[in-house]
Amino acid sequence: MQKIRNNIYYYLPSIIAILVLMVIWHFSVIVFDVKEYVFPAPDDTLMTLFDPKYRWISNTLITFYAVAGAFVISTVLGIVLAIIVIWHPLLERTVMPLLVLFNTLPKVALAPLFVLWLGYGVVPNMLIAVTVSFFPMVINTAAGLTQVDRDLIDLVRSLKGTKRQIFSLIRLPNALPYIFAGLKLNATLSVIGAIVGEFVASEGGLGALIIIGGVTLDTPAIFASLCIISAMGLALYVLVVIAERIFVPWETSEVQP
Amino acid sequence: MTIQEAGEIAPFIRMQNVRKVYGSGDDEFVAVSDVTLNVQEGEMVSLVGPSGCGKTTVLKILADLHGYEGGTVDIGDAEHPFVPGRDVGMVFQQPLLLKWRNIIDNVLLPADILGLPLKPARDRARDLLKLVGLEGFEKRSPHELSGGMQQRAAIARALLHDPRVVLMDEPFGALDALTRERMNLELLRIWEESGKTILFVTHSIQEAVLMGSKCAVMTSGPARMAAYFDIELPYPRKLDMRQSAEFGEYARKIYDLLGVE
Ligand SMILES: Nc1ncnc2c1ncn2[C@@H]1O[C@H](COP(=O)(O)OP(=O)(O)OP(=O)(O)O)[C@@H](O)[C@H]1O
Ligand SMILES: [Mg+2]
Repeated sequence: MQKIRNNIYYYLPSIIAILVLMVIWHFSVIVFDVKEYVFPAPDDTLMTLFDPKYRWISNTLITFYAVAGAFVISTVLGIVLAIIVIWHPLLERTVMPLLVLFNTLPKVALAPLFVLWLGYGVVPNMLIAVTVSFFPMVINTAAGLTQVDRDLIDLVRSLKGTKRQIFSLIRLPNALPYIFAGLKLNATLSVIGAIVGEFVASEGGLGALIIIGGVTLDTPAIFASLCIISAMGLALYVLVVIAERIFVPWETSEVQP
Repeated sequence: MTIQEAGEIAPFIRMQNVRKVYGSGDDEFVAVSDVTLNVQEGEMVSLVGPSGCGKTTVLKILADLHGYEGGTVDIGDAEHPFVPGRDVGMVFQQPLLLKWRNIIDNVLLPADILGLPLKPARDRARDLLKLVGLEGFEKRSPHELSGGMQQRAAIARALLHDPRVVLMDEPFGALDALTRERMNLELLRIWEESGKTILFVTHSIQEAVLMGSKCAVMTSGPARMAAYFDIELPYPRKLDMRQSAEFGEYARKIYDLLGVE
């Protein structure tokens, strides 16, 4: 009970801030008499969400599949690449430059290539999103795996601990907070990446709705899509935060309510 | 002093003319030029010397953490062969407790690495926590303990697998003066109760005299063993012994060895 009250107290300011913003939005549109196709009011946006012609559920699901798939693939790929990179200096010197080089590419510009290779659909979108979101996972995980006190490694080595034991007993748990920092970035970037994919080539999804809305001056539909996208991003982010509190209690227990 | 002169018992640790070079080619750096050190089993040897003279290097050689370029290192004998890993406990300047483990699980880390049976290890960990005065803190997490308490947990961890040698690298260097004095006395008590061979590195001459049954003085440039002698102060050692003339003489001797060169 006390805990729930604390939580409400903790999040109250952000909830109030959002509500105040909605109210300001609502009245500014009325006071300044803004046209709907320029900047729709919150209630117009809300009404659009109930209009069946946009097929919100199936479009949201299409985007969600791309986002969720990208999030999972980036997580696994990022962690595996990080382990490969830190396992041996030679691997680091061969794999890391390639990753950095790849990361300097503008991912949006890669999107047409994926469409060319894989056609339209959820899978190319997912992969485009992966190209956007996996790199911070690699960097964060690798940092967490390597930023271990040298003396601690020596302690394990003095007991003749193997490289594998150093990894599982020290490096991996040490990396968990870093991995979760990476997952938070990954959550946001997977959403961005999926929408970018749908911008370039997709017959469905919220990104496609935004493109169509832009062409037909259907601003409320664009706003409604943005609301769902941001809700999706937020939900994923919150999931990561909750998982972090469960799996990394030693880093989160001191700062949270 | 050779083995024969020492009489009946051959030294437990025998380092002869050990030389350690870091790097190679132009980057070559002689960290230790000539260290000879013979330690009997059950002794508490305080190892004192200026910063950078190679004390940590000597401990790391004994812990088999890295090799050396010259001389010989032998520990134990044919009857009771020394097993690297199994027979070494280490304590560093920082407690180095794992944040994601509670205190007793931290103390149990050597059991996980060495694959010791968990049930007896757990009982022993409990006994050791009692020995270092941390009874009742088994389930706490490290950040809930003060620096001195964390270091005591680190000492318990170093003793868990019942090693024959405990290597301590400035174990109390990060503590405040009062806590440090208390820990000195505690460690003396633990040493007397456990009968371990302990090598105790310190910067403090006072601490070296108070703690050691033997004192090894190292000098730098190039790093070598300057002297090795008994400290024949009575046991149990007490803090007020530091005011005694005998204590002062030992301290002056070390000071001269370090200051003259
Ligand atoms: N891995 C290394 N590579 C190169 N040089 C090293 C390395 N480790 C130590 N040294 C050098 O070897 C010398 C001895 O180092 P060591 O750490 O043994 O000294 P120390 O007596 O423990 O010093 P302190 O009292 O400051 O801890 C130092 O000059 C140090 O710069
Ligand atoms: Mg040192």
